[in-house]
Amino acid sequence: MTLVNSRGPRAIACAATIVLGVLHPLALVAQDPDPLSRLDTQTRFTVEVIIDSARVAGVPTRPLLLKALEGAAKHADNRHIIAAVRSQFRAELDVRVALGSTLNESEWTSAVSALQAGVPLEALAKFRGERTGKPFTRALVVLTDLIQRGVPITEASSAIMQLWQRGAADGDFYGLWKNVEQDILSGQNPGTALQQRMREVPVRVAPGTKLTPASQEPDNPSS
Amino acid sequence: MTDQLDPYVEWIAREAKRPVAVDPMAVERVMARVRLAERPSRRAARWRWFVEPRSLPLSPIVGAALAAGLVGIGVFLGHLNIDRGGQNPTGRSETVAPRPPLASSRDTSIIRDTSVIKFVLVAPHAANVAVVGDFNNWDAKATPMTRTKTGGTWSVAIQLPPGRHVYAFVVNGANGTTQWVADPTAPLAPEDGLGAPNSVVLVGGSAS
Repeated sequence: MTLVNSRGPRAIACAATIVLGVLHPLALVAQDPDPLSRLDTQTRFTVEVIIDSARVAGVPTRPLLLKALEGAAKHADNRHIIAAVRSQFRAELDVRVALGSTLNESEWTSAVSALQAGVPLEALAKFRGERTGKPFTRALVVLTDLIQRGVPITEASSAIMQLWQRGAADGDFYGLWKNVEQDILSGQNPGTALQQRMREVPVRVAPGTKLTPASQEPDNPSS
Repeated sequence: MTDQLDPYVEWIAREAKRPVAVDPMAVERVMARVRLAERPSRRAARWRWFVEPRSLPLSPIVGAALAAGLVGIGVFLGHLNIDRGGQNPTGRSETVAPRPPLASSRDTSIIRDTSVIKFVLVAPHAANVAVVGDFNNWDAKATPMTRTKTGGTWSVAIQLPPGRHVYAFVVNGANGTTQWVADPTAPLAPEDGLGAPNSVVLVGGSAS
């Protein structure tokens, strides 16, 4: 249906209004043209030097920028902001050693978080060996959270690696996390909660998957 | 105007009235061609009715009413989107400062299949609440949350690209206090020495 020519602008105005109405609930993300201006001059200079170093080293720079902005938003003092950015940079370098540099940004940041939560580099490197082509972001997010909630690092790493080797689906990781979190909130020991909930996760072994001895003992993840 | 006709007009009238010899078979020939012509299908005729351009005379008042109605539908659908899932707050907090607010469990979780994410926090005594994270460059003013009609629940829906996002809630109390709160229904990010815990949300099936 076409409106006569004189009504063309009116039709466009109507369409624009409708689009705005539909998009109304979606808050648009504003982009600050110079976000680092929130830092003081000296802090900004140091952060920019670290970001430049990251660029030269070939590791992601955006997480470093975001870490500095997070510090500014939380009104952290300059020393803590620089320490956090530097720690992020060092962790990125470690991640590259453990997992290579062909990661997407989510994999980078989740691996950095896992390292910062205390996961040993050797444990993290196993994800490269077991890499099946699908991203391991979810596995590492769950692993980091479990450690944050008090599950011993060794137990948490072992359990998540077992699930990964078994070809656990995203829903399996999510279900495990949700159940363990509820158990911990109910007062259960975090390590015990993880052990018990691991028994409930279904075994999904893809054809041709090579199982390591640890993954053949799903009932005893902490051993 | 005079009563006498123009001779030229008279000549035209005379020529027009003169009988014309018509071939008696002409009608038959025309009808034969018509019968031979392919008849358009009824389906095609219907389809043409839908796609054929046409003019719609529209008065300004009717046009305005139509536009207002469509905008109303758009806003209604938008509000439906905001209210979806926000009806089941799982907890309440008495005050903002001593006890962390609780978020409803369905609205911020680890797995997301859509890029429109709804963040919900129950903070009945807050003056205002915002969600802050890497998706808005950690700008506390960028994404304020809206208090729902039920009172204690704050929510906002934002469009996020696929991947892992770190965020937290900034709760401003009526007494002027500001508190950073992690989402109690989402996985935690590790402590980073910046003073307040963060949460993680994964957007998209592959979270890549």
